[in-house]
Amino acid sequence: MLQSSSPRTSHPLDLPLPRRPGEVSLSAFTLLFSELVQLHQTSASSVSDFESLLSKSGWEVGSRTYLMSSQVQGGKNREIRVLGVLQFLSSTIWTSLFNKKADSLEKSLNSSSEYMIHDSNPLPTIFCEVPSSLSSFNPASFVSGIVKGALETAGFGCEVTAHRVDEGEGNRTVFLVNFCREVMEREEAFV
Amino acid sequence: MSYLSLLITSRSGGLIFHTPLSPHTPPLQTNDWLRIGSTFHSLIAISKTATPTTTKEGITKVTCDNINISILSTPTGIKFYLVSDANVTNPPLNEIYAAWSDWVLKNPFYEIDMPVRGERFRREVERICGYTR
Repeated sequence: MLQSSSPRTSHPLDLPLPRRPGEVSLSAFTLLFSELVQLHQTSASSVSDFESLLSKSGWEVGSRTYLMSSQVQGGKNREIRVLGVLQFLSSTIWTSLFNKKADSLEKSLNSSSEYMIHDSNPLPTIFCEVPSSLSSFNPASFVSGIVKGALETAGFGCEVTAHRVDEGEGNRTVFLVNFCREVMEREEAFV
Repeated sequence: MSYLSLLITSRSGGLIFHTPLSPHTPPLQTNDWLRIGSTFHSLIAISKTATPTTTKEGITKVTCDNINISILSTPTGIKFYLVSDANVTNPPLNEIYAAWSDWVLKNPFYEIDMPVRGERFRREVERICGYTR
């Protein structure tokens, strides 16, 4: 009589999504990120090109993380307000990627479509030390790509730039999110 | 306990990093440091072939009347030389090696076998050895 001794294995797609994403070694991640930066550096023609290539890689990460997090954490109500999606980004997505929340979320005083996310030391850039010949390059553009990818996948078109804040040690960075006109018009219709 | 200086040579024997760790470190020119680094690298290679027993490490410690030189040879061929007072018993070479793998090897802009230019590793070494400028 034929009988399978091993328990029936289920297909990965039939398994429920993990509540918390698995942890990855920081060293393994950093070495992979380092290779990614070097790969883009060799193919980039200028510093701004280099940043946009790195940002595009981040876009994919942000987009996928948003899709998964929004399914796992209450997939029923999708965020439709600007503040809601930004809070979801700076808490839930930040935690699932970097294991901490973003330090603060602020609204810009200059423009109603601008928001700022502060992070005292963005995880991918912890070990990056940019040489003086590339001083205008900011490795946190990878994280700004993640922010852009998550927001655009959520239906909030925007431009995101990373700015380094020179405050002593560390890589204190501000991510400036500038939403498109259409998003702001939609936002005003809610009021 | 005090440390005088740290030298690091690449797998081919070139000096890729050196830093003073005390105000009493002799003020040598960079060329002199380069010479000292590559001389040590060669001495270790000689010690490995000249010993009658099989040794993997070669020289690990040089003892003088008032200073010690502790040497760590890593599997990738990078060598760390820490010059310290004779009373230092437990040189933090493994800690320095860990700092090297964090702050130098994980930096995307560092090229293998090239001199280290960044300041972060130097600051970390100074912290480990308790040296404040």
